[in-house]
Amino acid sequence: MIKLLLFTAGARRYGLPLERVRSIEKPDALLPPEPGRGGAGGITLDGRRIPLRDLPLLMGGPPAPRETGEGKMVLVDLEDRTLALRVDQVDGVATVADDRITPLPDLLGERSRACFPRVLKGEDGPVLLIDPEGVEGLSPPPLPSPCTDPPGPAAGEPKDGEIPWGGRLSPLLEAGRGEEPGPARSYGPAERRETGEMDPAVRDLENGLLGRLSTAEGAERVDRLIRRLAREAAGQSLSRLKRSLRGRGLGEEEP
Amino acid sequence: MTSPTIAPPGVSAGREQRVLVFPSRIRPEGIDRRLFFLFSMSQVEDVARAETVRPVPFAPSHFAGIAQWRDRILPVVVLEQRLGWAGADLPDHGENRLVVVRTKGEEGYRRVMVRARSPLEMIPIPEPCRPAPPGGWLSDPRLIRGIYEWEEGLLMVVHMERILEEKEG
Repeated sequence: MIKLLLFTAGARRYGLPLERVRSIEKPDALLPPEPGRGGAGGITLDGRRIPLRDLPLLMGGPPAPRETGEGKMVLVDLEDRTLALRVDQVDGVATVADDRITPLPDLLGERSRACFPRVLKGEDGPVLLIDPEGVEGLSPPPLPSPCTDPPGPAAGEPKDGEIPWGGRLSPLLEAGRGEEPGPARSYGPAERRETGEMDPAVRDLENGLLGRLSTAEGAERVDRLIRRLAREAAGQSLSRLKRSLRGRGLGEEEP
Repeated sequence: MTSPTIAPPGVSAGREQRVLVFPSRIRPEGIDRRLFFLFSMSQVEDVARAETVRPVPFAPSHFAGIAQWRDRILPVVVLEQRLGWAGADLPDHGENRLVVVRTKGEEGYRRVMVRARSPLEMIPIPEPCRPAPPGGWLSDPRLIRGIYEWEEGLLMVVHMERILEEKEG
């Protein structure tokens, strides 16, 4: 028999051998994300900085309801260090027979197998069992600028299991991380970030405010931002925004 | 002169030989006929309801995830996605089934589940059933073993071993 900690991240259930779990904490001591790592920040515990991986952000899938607050931090023991995993909620501990656990099929690829080497054959369907070492090295895959993404139902209305909407966060987070802004994007040059006329969402991106927010707060904010940008793109508000920016000398010139 | 009537690859042309046929979820651009997938009964082990398909982060995009079948965990493959047809990644609101398909792997046989849209039909080998030329709508003809004219559309026999090969790039 093996004991598993079951939890929800991104509206999907995952498991983790309980023997790997050091503790479960409230996320009240978040540190800003580390530069260059999508969704990766840290927490402080007993005065030590512990790296954090935001599982709902990393795993994609539909966003979980946020009314439960900021979720939980599951601290797991690695060989010589500790890793914090942010989850949406902890569902409990299950004791299962060894034969209920099976390897993830090879066809799913190396990256999947590194993160989820085993699967629980659960009563309500398969549950992926996380390997903390595999998750430790994760960052969301880079995607094109959100302004060039075709607007679709994924951004406005995420559908269950179909669109990895979380991956879309990456360029936004990258754009807002660190003291130095990223390369200029189509929504306006970074050197004009001091203006008070710029769209607040764009200004946030360019000023790097998102990078200074806590992970949970940042995720919520980016979530709202994505939805809004998608709506604007669909309604051609983005075009109006660009025209407006150009009118103020902030955007690209007309070809 | 018309092409001779033949049995699709992997299907013996005996009397009352039956095959499983189901429609494609997507009709790719450049084709004006209905498309069906065809599997021989020697390939099909079971047809199950698509109850719980668990997405697996970071898996190749043509895998919808994993599902349980007879106490096993099997990958669920989306043929339309693997064939690169636009729109194959969108949610499917139709009624789905999972076809358990046995195929050769590097280490003997292996099983996968193929996401199939209803209606699934067990039919005798269609006659007439003549080879059809692959069209430009097939981005990778290697993935197809044959295409056949049928009175209700085109029948496609996919090359499951290649479908399951790791995608290049």
